[in-house]
Amino acid sequence: MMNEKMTRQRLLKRQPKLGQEITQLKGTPCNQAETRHNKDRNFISTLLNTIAALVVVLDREGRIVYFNRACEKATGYSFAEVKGKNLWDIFLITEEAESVKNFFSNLRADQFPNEYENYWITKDGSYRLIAWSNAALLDESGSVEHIIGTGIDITERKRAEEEYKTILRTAMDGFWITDMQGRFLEVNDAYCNLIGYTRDELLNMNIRDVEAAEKPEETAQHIQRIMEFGGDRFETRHKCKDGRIVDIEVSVNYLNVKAGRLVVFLRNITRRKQVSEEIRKINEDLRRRTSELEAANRELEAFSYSASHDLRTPLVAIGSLARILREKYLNHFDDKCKEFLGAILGETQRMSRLIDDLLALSRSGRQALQLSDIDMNELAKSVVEELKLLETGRGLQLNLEPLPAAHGDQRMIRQVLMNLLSNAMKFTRRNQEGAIEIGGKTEDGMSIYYVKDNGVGFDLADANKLFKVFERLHSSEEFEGTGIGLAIVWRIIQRHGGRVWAESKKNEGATFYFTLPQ
Amino acid sequence: MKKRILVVEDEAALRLAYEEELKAEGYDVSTARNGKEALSLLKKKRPNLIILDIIMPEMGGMEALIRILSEERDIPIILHTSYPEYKRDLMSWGADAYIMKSDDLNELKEKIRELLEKRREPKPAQEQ
Repeated sequence: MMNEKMTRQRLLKRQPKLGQEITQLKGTPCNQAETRHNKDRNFISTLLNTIAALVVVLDREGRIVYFNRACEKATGYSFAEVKGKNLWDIFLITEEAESVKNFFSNLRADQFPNEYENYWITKDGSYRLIAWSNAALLDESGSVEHIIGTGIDITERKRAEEEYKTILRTAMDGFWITDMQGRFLEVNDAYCNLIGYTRDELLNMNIRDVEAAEKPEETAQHIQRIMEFGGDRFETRHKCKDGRIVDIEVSVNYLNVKAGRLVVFLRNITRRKQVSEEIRKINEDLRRRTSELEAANRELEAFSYSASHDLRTPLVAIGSLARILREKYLNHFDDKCKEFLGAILGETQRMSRLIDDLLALSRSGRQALQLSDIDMNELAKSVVEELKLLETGRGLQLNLEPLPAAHGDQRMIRQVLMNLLSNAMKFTRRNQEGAIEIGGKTEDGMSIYYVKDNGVGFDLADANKLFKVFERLHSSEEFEGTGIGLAIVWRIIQRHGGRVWAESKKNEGATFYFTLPQ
Repeated sequence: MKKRILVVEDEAALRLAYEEELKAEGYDVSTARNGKEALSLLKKKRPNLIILDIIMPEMGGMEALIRILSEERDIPIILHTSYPEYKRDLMSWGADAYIMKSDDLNELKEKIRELLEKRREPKPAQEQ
């Protein structure tokens, strides 16, 4: 740019002389001393051919009298091909050619377009955009003798500029350029669509016309800060033409050019905000409901605990009075009364066991786990020993296979083994030869244990009832029990992160499995 | 002379059972329905031993225990309850025994005998 300007000024200073030179370049016969002219011509020619700018010289008829190397390079024509031809016939598009031709037919020095851009058609038919600076060389009488055009090929620059503008215009994000007073100098389609104003409307507006979160003086201060720090990234809200408020994420950079410019990218984050607000609400709701459930659960546990104790008091009263009747007043009763009294005492005891089991179930859910490594072989052995004492006078084969170690609450796991083993003993009582096997293995980092018996078994269709409180598959006359034992097993294993299930066929024994972490 | 026992229990059927059993053991038995009644009977009945329930209306066993002991330091008190969780606290506050309620009253009767036996031993001079 600078070079081009300087060259032009220099050329203008040398104006009269150059005029002569150009006449010579045109090939007009010369009467002056050959040597001096050759020397000057070489100098000028070298100069003009070396510079990157396009230099073309026309006579007053618009015919090309000089065409430098840069021109040859840009158009694909050689000087020889265009020499003496009218400029417009070769290079200009039809519409322009006509007006330029007219201009030359009435050429005046004072009506001369100094600077403009136009397209030149090259030899291969493509277009180059050239930015021209023109100067006129006058003869002694003051009329135009030659016109020197100095041009810069701005095709690539313009294309890049257009591309960049297109990108910004069509970008998904909003884009502005503003001055330091907040006046819009450029806005893209994305922002227009977002805010509802047209581009023309916005170009007459200011940031403060759309800003909804900051007051005008705050925006002014904000711009000052952006100037100091070179940029900023923040969230704000903009007011659309229809009055809607949208959440905007702003990324702004300060350009230190001319009077200063702000280059601003804007993203509509309304939906994002809504979604994150929805997620926050859902989480809050979830937390609230979880804590409600926990509270309800605690309440239920507390209730079952105190209910169990409260149930015990009247039961103790019934039991005590019935015992007194049996111990002291039995001779007042006939046989029927004695039978009934026996039933009352029996039921009282059953109720008492039921309460004990309910309390155990409540404890198995309430008590904090005291985790340790458990030697399951030792634990199973001690449970078997304890149960054997209760089981006398029948053939029972107890087979204890080696067991993998477990990690858990020893007291609770002991309860699990106790319940499963006593179940197995109970349901093999009718067998001539009861057989119970305890075993285990390791699989996928979990220990799997089983208690297998050859007792009455159960129908697999009833398997899902097994672990529920008060579900009994056999009447209490057939097999005594409260229907809570397996519910306790299930709850304890579940609290250890394990699984419990059973397999059986009716009359072919049952196998209960449970898993524990190692 | 018969030993006097005060039974403090809100459950009427239980009062009936205790009264029956303890009278048969040869004790003079009086009853109260809560801690307040027990305190008002303390001077009148001058019991040698008190059986005290914990969860009762008006005044429960915990408050009654403290009030009774502040008036009559030497009366043996047996807490008789369905709730196991107060045992450590109440024993440290000065109860003599903590027995879980059961329809089998033998444990209670045994404890009564043991405590009354102990009190028959000579007491320190300043407390007589």
